[in-house]
Amino acid sequence: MNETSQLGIVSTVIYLALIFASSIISVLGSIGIIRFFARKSIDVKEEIVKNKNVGISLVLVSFIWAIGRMCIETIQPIMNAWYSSYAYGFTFRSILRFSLGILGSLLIALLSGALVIFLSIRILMVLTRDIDEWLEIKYGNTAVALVIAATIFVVGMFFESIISYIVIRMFGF
Amino acid sequence: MATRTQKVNRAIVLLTAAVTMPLLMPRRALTPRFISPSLLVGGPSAAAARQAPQNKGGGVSAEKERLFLRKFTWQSISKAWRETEFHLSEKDIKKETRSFGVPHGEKSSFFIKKMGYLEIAPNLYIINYRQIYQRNREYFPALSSALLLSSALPPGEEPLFAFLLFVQQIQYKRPPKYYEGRFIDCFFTPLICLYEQYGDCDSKSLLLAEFLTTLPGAREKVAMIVASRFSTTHSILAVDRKPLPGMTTLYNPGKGYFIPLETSAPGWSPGFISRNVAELIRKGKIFFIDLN
Repeated sequence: MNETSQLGIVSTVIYLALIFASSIISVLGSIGIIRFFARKSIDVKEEIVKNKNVGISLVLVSFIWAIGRMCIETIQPIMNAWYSSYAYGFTFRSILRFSLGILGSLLIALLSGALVIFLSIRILMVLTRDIDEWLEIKYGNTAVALVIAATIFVVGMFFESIISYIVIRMFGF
Repeated sequence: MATRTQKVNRAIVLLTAAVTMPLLMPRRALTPRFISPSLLVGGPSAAAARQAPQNKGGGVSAEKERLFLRKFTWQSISKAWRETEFHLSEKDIKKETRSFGVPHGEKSSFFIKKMGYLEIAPNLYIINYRQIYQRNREYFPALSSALLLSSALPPGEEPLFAFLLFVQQIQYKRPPKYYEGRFIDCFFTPLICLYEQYGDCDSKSLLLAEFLTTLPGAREKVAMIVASRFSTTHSILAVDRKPLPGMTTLYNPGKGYFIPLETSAPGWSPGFISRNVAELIRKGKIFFIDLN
């Protein structure tokens, strides 16, 4: 396993591609989820860039963190599978299976992140029935945004530990 | 003249000292205590009596000295099934059995240390992996060559992964506390692990260390990593390699980078370990034991 070998180069490319894909999924997924939860009443880009809405950026950061953590947790089983099953010889079929596994794992990460966010917000909504959180955030209520972000961080921390287990079980990684 | 508060404080300090000092003092003239690194959470029960050898492949061939044949069938990197045969000398097995383990009731510190234990505090012992590793080196050159031959590796390919796969596929089972009448603390030395065809985390890790370092021209640096926290104790092997992307790494100042090798079960590539063990390493809750 010399790091200058072909295996090292290919592994680095796969690893970087996974990190890049995770980043893209985290950011785009987070923006999409905010739009979904706020029933398209919030334009994230406009709120952050034009209105300098700190609340929206806080919530976006927590969403990116939650989905990003889920994606990172899937990278280790993917790389483990790469070294053990594919790095020392592969066929077209095995590579296709590996690629589908990667796509599936990242999709699982995105869905898990969305589930974490959904659960966090549901918990808050049950506790504070008379408050419309998204409206408050839209009007610049940073305190509400801070509470949502903190809830997502905590629920996310509990969830991230089981993601690699799910990925290993589902895709045989 | 001390005030009342000072007197009360002094009394509290004396009382605390009186309670804690006996706990901190070494307990001499008591039964030796052994710290076992072979406990794996979720592993088989500790209540193990001496167990009969299982799954012995082949029989005994007799010429000048009796040899035990041990057959292993395992899946290589290319997913092809391989069969490896080891011929273990009865003389070596007997010698190794006698060299490790303490007879019941033995309290002599000198004897216990001679029989493969390390005294880390008065009357407190752990398994001396380095001593066992060094002693077992004499048996392994031929065994390592046999394993390399059966691995059928392409020319120039290093045997690390193949050897790891072989050891991972040896049955994971916790050795008994007593073996041949000696207290072995649920640990099989490498030769006995091969003879019995099973072992637990530290037994299999040390076996892999022997295979990796006794090949002709091998210059591997290996270390045992004993990760421990509360009731979770687990052993893995570490080998000096520069890590590839995604791998867990240990850095030992002066010795360089090591990657962990998980021998307990198949499915772990070099450099990949479970989340819990990685967490313990990250927190520094490990013992790094250099073997060579």
